[in-house]
Amino acid sequence: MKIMRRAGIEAAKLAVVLWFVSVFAFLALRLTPGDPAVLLLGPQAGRPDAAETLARLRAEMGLDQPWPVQYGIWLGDILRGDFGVSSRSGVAVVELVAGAVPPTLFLIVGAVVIAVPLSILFGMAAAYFRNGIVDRAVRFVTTLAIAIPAVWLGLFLIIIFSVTLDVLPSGGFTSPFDDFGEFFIQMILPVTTLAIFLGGVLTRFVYAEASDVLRQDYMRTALAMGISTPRRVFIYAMRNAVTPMITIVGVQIGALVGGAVLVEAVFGLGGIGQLLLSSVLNRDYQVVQGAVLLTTIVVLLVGYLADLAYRLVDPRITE
Amino acid sequence: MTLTEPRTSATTFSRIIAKIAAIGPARLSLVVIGVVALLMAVWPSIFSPYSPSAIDASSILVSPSFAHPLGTDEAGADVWARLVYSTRLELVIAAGSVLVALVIGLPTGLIAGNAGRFLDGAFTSVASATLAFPLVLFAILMVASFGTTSLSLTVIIGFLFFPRVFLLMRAQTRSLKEREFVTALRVGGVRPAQILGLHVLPNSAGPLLTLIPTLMAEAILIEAGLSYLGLGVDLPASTWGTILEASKNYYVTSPWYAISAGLVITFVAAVLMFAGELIAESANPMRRRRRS
Repeated sequence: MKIMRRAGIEAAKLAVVLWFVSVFAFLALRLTPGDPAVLLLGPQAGRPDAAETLARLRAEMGLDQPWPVQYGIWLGDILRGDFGVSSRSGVAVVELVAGAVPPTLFLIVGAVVIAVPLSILFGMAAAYFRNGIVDRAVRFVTTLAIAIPAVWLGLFLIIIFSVTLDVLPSGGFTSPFDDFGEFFIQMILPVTTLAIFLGGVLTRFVYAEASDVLRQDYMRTALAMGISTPRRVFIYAMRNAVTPMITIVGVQIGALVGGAVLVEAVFGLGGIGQLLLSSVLNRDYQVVQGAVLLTTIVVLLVGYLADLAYRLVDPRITE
Repeated sequence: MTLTEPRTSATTFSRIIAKIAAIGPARLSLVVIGVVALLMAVWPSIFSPYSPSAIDASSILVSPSFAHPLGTDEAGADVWARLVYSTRLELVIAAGSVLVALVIGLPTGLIAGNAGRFLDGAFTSVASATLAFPLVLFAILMVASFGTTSLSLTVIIGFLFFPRVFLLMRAQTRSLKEREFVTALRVGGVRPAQILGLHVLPNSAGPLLTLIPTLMAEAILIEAGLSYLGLGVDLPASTWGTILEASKNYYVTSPWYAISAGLVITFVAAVLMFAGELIAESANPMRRRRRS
């Protein structure tokens, strides 16, 4: 029952945060210079007779209303499931976002699938052989993995594997449902780039947790009872060292989306980051607001579910 | 360490040597790197004879040579000179954004850690909302809206970092508040503001000093990422990030250009992260003993 109450409180907090983000996304572009009508009209907006056209365009986009009214209309539409249409292309925002999600999503999922098992393995090994050569090597490599700018790592991999060796494509995205082989080959470099960054973060986390767990009394008892090392490390210790990772992946999902945005720019995957960047530059209010809000909903939801899952797996957590 | 130090018989010179040796090679090299970086920022001309903005049509995208150790860029300027001359702005943005984070995060953290449930809850919600939101998306939105000046970049990155300082300071305040010396001060009639400013804050210096270099490294990395998306500082200003951004168009014919820009960023970010770890070890003797 306690967990249900907890879930309710967290859901209420989530709603407040989402409301903050919606206000923020709404204001960010409006508080700063740049008129969408002028940008839409292009060079013609400079002509003396353009004022009437501009006014008509603004009215069409609903921009002639006061801000609170605009915000109210937008929020009302969203609650009814309508995220509006792009003022530039006339395509529905939901459709644009849905089209940009697959590259970003596959990139993130691929990186998680590769980075999680490897970071458990290396983190546990480094903690077990503390202060040994394995420990030092793992700590050095993970620091490097975090310190390398993701965009540069991507470029570097392109220089090696696409330009010099000419074995992998330097970019592009094909839907896995159209041509899985092509999709797989195109995703190797981007996923590797993101997985190296994520692996660095996660390995350090597993290392810190495992170092604590391996010093616990029950581990010494297990040793005294003559339980084999692999069993002690990979079953007894790993369970306690790896469970908190659920929360870390939940917390890191924001950073992961950020990393994915950069990586997709390097490899030209055309994901959510590029959609947002181009619509911010075009002052396409509806798309920016919708994309920001939809992405935040997904990110927060993942964090929320991770938190909930962690509480279910480990009932000791209360606060 | 102090026991092995010669007390009376040694000369001043050997005592200095012993003191330096006691610092250890890791710390010593960090100090040397830090001094070199500061010199580059203050007085770049002693590190390169070339001007970073020299346009030379006869040497465009030249490969590394004795004259140009890292080659030249698309305008014929020496890449090493450009990297050296960008150090100042890069460090200003990195240090400035950490300063912004401290200015917002320290007072709010102290207040939230000491306040009642409502105020604490409000502050913590804002901080966790900022933390949960994908940083790079936020930065794209802000930088594209507020323009790409070094000041706006600094403030925006600083704002992104504030929850980290806030959460650390809040946790520190909450745990120190329960300690006996704080209770004694309170019973002694010392004002809460004085307790927070003169006792809680100084006692949190260790964890804060650990966080600062880490955040500086992250600021440099975020700056590089934003620059790559075309949201770096405007010309003629230049940072390592904007150099990397410019180099990406020539990676097929001139890979050394992109590689050297990224290597500098990686090296400096890694050094700052190691510095954070070293500070953590010296600030926390428990951790040091466990390590060795």
